[in-house]
Amino acid sequence: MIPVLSPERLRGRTKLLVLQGTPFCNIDCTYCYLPDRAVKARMPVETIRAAVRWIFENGLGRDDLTIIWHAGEPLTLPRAWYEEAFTAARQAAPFSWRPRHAFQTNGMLIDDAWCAFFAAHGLRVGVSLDGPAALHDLHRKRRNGKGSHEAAMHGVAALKRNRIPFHAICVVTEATLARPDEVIGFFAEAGVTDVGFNIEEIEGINTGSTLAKHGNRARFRAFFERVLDRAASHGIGIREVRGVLGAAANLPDKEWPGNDQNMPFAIVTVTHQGAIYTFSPELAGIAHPRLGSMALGHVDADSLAEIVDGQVFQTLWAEIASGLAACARDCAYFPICRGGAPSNKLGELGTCAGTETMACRLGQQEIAEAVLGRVLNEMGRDVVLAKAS
Amino acid sequence: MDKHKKHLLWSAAAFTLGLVSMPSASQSLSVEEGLAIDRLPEIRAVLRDTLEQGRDLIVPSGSTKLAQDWPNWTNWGNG
Ligand code: SF4
Repeated sequence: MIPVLSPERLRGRTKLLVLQGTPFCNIDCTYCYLPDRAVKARMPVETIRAAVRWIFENGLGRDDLTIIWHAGEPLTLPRAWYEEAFTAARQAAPFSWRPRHAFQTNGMLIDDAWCAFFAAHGLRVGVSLDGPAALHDLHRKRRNGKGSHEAAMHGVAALKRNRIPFHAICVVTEATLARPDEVIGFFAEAGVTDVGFNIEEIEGINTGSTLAKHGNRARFRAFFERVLDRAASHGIGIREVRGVLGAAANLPDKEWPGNDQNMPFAIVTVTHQGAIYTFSPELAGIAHPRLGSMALGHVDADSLAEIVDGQVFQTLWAEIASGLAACARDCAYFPICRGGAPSNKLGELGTCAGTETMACRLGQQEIAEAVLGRVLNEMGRDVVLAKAS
Repeated sequence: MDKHKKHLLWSAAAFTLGLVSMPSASQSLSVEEGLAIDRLPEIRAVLRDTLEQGRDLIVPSGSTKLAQDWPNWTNWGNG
């Protein structure tokens, strides 16, 4: 039996719209997955308007939709361009939309003027920081090969000086594993109170990971356990902990069983040229040897119904859905992970229909064990206390 | 076909295999003995109880204002 779903079931499903204001990045990280990061193009304001209109006219948008400017370094575009972009988005969205814009940035260009802009627009800011300079500069390099840590820390100082709240995203590579104390010590000293750990993934044009070595699973587990200890003592919140606890507290929704990366249109990415993608944002702009481009359509030309009926979506969704089903059937961690990321499966296994990847063994399974293990320890202590009293 | 009435076809796999009747963790063949994930139902009960009573979670949860306000950080990609 082929289950059918009315278009109503996609209503209000898009939480996050990733807009690629520019594919250009002012640095050239060794692990970057973006194929066009040297291209200095800019999304026309008309395309921004069309993208936001496409989301809402097709019924996908919700009033708390967040627009994140990413997939290139967003601060390489001028503030005046964003003023126009935000106005265009506002005009294209229904009146009930509460504008929420976010920047994920390498931090290097942040100064007092940018901070004033962040504050004026209530922007959410995430800075990519891989820890102290010795770790950060190993991979986050400029095109001349020099590191970018010093400039990023100038940006962090500006954020602190101007009291702009922000979080950090730290990519964990093999070199990070031996240094959990230094990493958390660095964030504590820098005044960063929320950190998310992205493991170095094999995806897009990044075809290798320093983590993909025998023995690194156990090392990653030890690293993360230590991170939890040190973060607790410094009062630093860890995104992954919140994610595991949130998932553990709730059973998966039978109607919408996966996660934001493997359920259709939870995240929509629109490139600077107006091409529409869904599922993992890293699928945007890559030409896969078997699947080709995973662009579903264009904001000026294709309705949601046409896209969902189309060959590209149907092929991709059939693969992703069978991977999701296999994860649900075979993996004990499904209630936490909810089927992994298509980009990781495609990058490591060559198909989105597979299950386990290095990315999920580390980024889902070991993290879940570490966090749930702590809950169990606390529960054990509670039981002992209850008996004693 | 009338677009408004047209139903979207979804792959059979996601909604017929596994997802409707989710296996309990302890049935999974891939799980070794002693893993925390095997005790998820107990953990879930404790977490729900904690949340319902409005108590703090017992491990560092990142549940600051910032994290609550924007739950969907860029948890994808390298940097
Ligand atoms: S942990 Fe891996 S195998 Fe398990 S559900 Fe997630 S992606 Fe699938």
